[in-house]
Amino acid sequence: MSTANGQPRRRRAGLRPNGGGSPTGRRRARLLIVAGFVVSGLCGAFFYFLPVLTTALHDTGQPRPAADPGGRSVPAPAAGQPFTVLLLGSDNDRKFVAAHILTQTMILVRVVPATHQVWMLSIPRDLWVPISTGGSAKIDAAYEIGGPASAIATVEQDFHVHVDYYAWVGLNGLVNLINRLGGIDLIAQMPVLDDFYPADLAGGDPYGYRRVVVLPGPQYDQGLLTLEYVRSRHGDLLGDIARSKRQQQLLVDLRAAAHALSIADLPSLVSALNGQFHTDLGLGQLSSLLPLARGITSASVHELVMLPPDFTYGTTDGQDVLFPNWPAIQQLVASAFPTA
Amino acid sequence: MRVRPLAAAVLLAACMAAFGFGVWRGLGALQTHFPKVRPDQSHALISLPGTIYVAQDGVLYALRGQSFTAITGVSGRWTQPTVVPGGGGLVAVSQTINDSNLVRMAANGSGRRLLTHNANPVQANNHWAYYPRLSPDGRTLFYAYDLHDPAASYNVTFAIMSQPLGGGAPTQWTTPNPYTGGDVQPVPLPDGGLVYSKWSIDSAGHTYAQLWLQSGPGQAGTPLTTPASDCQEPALSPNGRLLAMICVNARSQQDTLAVAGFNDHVLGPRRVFATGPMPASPTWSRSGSGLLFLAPVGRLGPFQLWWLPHPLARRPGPPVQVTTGLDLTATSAVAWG
Repeated sequence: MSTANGQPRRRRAGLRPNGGGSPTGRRRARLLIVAGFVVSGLCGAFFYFLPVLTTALHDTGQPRPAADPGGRSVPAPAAGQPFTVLLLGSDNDRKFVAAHILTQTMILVRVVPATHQVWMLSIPRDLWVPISTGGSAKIDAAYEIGGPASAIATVEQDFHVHVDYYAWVGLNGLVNLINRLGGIDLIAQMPVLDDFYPADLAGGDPYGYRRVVVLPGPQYDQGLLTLEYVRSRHGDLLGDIARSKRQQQLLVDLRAAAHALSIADLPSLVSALNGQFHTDLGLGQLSSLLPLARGITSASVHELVMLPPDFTYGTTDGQDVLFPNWPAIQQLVASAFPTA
Repeated sequence: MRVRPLAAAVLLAACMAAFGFGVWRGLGALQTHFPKVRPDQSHALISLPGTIYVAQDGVLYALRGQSFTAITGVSGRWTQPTVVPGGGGLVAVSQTINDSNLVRMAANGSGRRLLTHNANPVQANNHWAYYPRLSPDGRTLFYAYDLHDPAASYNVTFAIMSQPLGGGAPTQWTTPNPYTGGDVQPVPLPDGGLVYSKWSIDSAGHTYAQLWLQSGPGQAGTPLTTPASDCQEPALSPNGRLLAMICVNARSQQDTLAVAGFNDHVLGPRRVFATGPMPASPTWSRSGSGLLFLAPVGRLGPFQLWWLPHPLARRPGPPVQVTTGLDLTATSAVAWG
């Protein structure tokens, strides 16, 4: 075969169905084709996991801001070593600007990977404590004042405990996450009735109230009903303490739900948490937690809750607060968490 | 036939792009899904006698043979159907955002009549009504109703009420423990008494339920189960001699379906059935030969209907799955008419 000017047409290896050309050229062509498919597959996987990567870049591995008075003086625990996480949860009911919201949920979690043991201690939001940045306030204001750094420093200074990491979740994100899971199995421990439940999410009024009822017993709930279960506090003898217990229960139930998930679920999960989650845990540390979570059973989760005489009820600055009994609290904390 | 190099390159590139897209789609297909269908787009796996009423996503369905039929629409957010003895149709709960009412209807969902009037323009004056149950003679309707404490607006608790099915003033039967959620799940007894679930909170902050027996309105009741066993959701067998119940282990977040003998005053030892995770809302068959209950399939997921035949046989068989792919409302015991 020749061109119009009589020169022989140059064969291009790999572009002929009969695999013409020299053996080296054919091999190179095959390699190119295989590489093309590999790159194409990797591109498919890359775009699939792009939300995970984006979230990893923006929302994980966040350094603690300078508001932490001492900075991180203790190195992060090595892989496989016990560590303590401060879980923070906020229902940004649109009364506050995004960066300055209260944390209705504060749970200290101690994880011992070697024995798959977990301790959880809920800190009542109304506890009246010295804030790390100065003055005293309800502990839920620490995050509002200085973000995660202030919340961590306040907990460390008052509870004599070292916090390795923090993770913050917005309760909107929690709703989305549970809906993405399809729902969550839980056993409502009691009938939850609240005539003064915030109407922010379902009612669209951040200053209004609505009535909620969560019936007791085993059930498979969607996000909003689950949120009502863990957020309601008025109709319960123990108020915020009972709510803390239900929040710990939800963490255990979420861990159980995580058993059914695979890595393919990650993109939609992080999409569900879009803007509603940040942590100073790195992506690698987070991913190492997944197999750890699978190894943890209900029996190895120890739930600690503060009850009187860990605090006394009182009023200050016109607010109903809980006055801490520090010796009792620090004794409770020391039973599960290493002191700072 | 020879293929031009450019065309071959384009074809290969298209194949590669398709492969990349396939990887993207394939990873998406690996996501965990709990498939969920409407009951009337599904069929039961086995056939049970009579008509069984269930709730899913605010709609009531009747199961006859292996086919479901919707007997209500979505509006009304229906749940907790119960059968009126003597072929008197059904009573079910219709919910809105701030109240719920009991509604009587024919077995096919027609001819609805409001039995309670709990909606009020003033939000604080709304009420809930749940867990309707008829007395064995079908004349008296029992249910859980939220009481408002005029001295403490946060103290909203359920109490058991009764009222004539044909209309009349309600009577308060029970006095709930304050700030506990209260008393729910009434089971009227043939002798005029009542079994129900009562919630309490102990000094250590533990919340628990007990089955409670009461002989009349306002009478002092007696517990049938211990606080430690945390039992609720009672279901009385047709002959009145057996009580099925759900007992919760709050520590492990698991529960069991149990059956105990009942002589109108005390419960016998509980016999626990290994029924897998999270059994809920037991209901006896009309003949008393078996129990229907709701539970997920496997470890987790939406609730399906299960049938436990002959639970008191020396060697009861395993529960039989009745439905698949549904998301039945677990707090709504099935009604068997």
